[in-house]
Amino acid sequence: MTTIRLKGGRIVDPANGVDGEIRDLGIRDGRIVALHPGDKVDTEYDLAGCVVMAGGIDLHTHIGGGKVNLARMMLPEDHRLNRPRDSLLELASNGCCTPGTLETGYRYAQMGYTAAFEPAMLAANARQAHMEMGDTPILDHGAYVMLGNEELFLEMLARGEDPQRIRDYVGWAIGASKAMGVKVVNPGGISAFKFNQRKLDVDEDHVHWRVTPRQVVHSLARALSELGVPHPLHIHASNLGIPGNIDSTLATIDALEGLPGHLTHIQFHSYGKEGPKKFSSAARQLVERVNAAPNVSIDVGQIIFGQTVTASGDTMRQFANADLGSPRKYVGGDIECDAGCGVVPFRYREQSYVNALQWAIGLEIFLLMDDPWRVVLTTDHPNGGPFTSYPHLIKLLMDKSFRDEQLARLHPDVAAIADLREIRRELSLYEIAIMTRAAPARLLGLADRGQLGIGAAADIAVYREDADREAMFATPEYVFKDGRLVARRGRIQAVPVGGTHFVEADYDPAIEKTVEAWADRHASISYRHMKIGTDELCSCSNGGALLACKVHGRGRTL
Amino acid sequence: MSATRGWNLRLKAQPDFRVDFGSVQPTALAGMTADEVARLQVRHGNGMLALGELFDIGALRGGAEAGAGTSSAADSAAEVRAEPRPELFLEGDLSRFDAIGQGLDGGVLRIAGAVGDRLGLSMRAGAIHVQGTAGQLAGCEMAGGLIEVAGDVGDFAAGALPGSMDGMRGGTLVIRGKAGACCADRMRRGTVLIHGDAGDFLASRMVAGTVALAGRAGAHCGYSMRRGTLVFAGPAPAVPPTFVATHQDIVVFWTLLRRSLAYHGGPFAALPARAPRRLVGDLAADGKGEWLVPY
Repeated sequence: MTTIRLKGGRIVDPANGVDGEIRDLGIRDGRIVALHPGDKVDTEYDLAGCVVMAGGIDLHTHIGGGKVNLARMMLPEDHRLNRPRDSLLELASNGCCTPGTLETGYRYAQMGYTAAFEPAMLAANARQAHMEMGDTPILDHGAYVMLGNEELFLEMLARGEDPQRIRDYVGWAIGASKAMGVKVVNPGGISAFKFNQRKLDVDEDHVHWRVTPRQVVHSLARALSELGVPHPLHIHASNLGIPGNIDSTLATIDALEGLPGHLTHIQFHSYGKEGPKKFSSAARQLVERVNAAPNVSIDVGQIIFGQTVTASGDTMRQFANADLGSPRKYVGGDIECDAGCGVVPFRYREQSYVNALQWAIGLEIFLLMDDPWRVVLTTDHPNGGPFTSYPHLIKLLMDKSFRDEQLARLHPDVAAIADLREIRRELSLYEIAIMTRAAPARLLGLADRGQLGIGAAADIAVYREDADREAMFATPEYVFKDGRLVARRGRIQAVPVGGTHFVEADYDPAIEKTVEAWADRHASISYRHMKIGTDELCSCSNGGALLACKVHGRGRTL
Repeated sequence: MSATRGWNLRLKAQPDFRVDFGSVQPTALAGMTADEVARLQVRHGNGMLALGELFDIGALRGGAEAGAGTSSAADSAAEVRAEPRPELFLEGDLSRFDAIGQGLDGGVLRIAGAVGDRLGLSMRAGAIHVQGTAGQLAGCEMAGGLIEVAGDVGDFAAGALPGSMDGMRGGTLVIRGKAGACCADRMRRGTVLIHGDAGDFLASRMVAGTVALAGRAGAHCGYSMRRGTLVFAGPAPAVPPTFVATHQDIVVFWTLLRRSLAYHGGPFAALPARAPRRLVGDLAADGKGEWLVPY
């Protein structure tokens, strides 16, 4: 039994409404406990002058699966610079925008993050994704299974199948792939691309199945709601990156009809087409709508200038962007008629009007949203920029003068007209703690993470107070994972295996006959192999803890 | 000239592990004292080691005392300039030393002995003279300057690192021995001269530049070659079905090319005045590469 006392730190714990209270925190056996001043402890850390937060949680970061590996292979130069190892515990692994699995774990932990979620796991690729995440040290992890473009689902929807059957199918898919939630990417659009459609609006028919993205979004959101899955439908909306796509984004919110939904990398979906270049910010329009829709949460997908790679399941949009690649490479593909993938390396440039405006739009969304509990801080790693730029992003949000300095370096037209100039708001530490820990934990239904209450898991990041917020968030003084010191001032101290979060949903197993019949006719692997068992998940995830979240929503019909 | 114009490093004993020599640059060392040079750290296996532990270090005095061996015409021309270039003279079997002259941007490196992999990787200027053999990836992605190897070189000389779009993109690589497989793979500019034989896949996926070969080529020569020139100064190769003769008049071009190759001496000094046969290929790729094959 190990007991640790964190003495005299300033606690910022929004989940429990604690803002800057100076007090001790006790840890025993990986959990936060109440300690009396007289209790004997094994180790005591003096945290005077430090801010104590729960470990960071990234609910949208591409860290495992086929397209991540394609991205790694496409940018070999990203892996050639041998960063000297900070600690003998670190094995050789490199990369910045396409880090190897080990590097991903080390770098997140060094920044005070203790959990990361892969948003785009194909059911057909689930094993690979779980194995890569299992290979990622320290971090807890989980993934959302991509639905809404696979043949079986579209066929069921086109047949006008009973919503309960669709609910059971979604429950089966979550269970088979051991997912934490469901993501839909360009609803119906990835499939439509294979039928030669190059765009698909929210109310436009898929040429073959004759269903619309609106139907896809609604039926998936409804299924999740009925199953009782905590994380709302994770939506990568239609028309990513197209000027004027704010209309389809708002239509997607309407399609939810009040059901919970999480619109991801919303920055890429908040474009108007005003102005001389027919490309403008629609951040105000978006935020107005989201503020009025309490069922909707968002993460931003802020862009960061420099080299990165865009890896997405959205074959339709990535195909359109292929010529913009830098270096000029592109991979696109279909995967088992399950979904698709498109990978394009990209360099965001300060002097590009479009990139500069994208940067401003992301920040505007962060700063205009009233309710920080419904905004999560992400760069959609690596699509907007690598996750290692989070400390920089936090400084941009917390420091108006720093923000103005950066804005002044951008394309002059953007620097002169951007709405961002007028926004004086500077986020507080409390709000940052919400956007990086408390809100993602709540949106994922992680009851004992993202908070520092008694009984919570002791995932803790301790930052030394520093007026330069970038420096402060880049190298926390201490990082604890389940009560174990894993990083000290940026040096890795231990590399425990992270746990796997997944949902065990209750559904009518009769649906398995439908899936089996479909798999016998169309799938390239046997139905028996489509399902990942618990034992297999355990070996896939490197023997890490299996953090099952049981939900019993069955029978609850809307 | 009395000040050191460079350093003489004599290997004491073989290191236990491979040494990454990429950080040792003649221009940077020229301004240092002997102590500073001895304290310079290089990567040795997973750790670091001081140069002084690996080498006996002495100063090179003015004149050309270290110029023994392999000076080519290009280099002699440089040496008559008033200001001598910073120089580094390495002695001993350095086949465990990788990345010698990596990113070289000026100065001269002379090695009396063999060297390891990645000789002159991405170098931009200056000259490297090796009296022994070189390992894999010699002159890989080099963009300028001169590399001369008296012995054989390993695979992927003048080629690309795994995953890169371009191989050698400038400068001159002279191989007096044999070249390994995939020499000039993805090459897009510059000149490679091979006095001996070449391994399989010579000039594979070549984009541009000139390769001249005095010996025999291995299998799949010019595989997927898109553009570029391959000169066969020795025996005529077997012509694969994806290369065809064009019968174009190349007399003027040949006169110029012949003269520029003759400058490097050896088997290239006496190329026939009569223009060779011109073939183009690889038609399975872009088909704009050319082979100049003697009659």
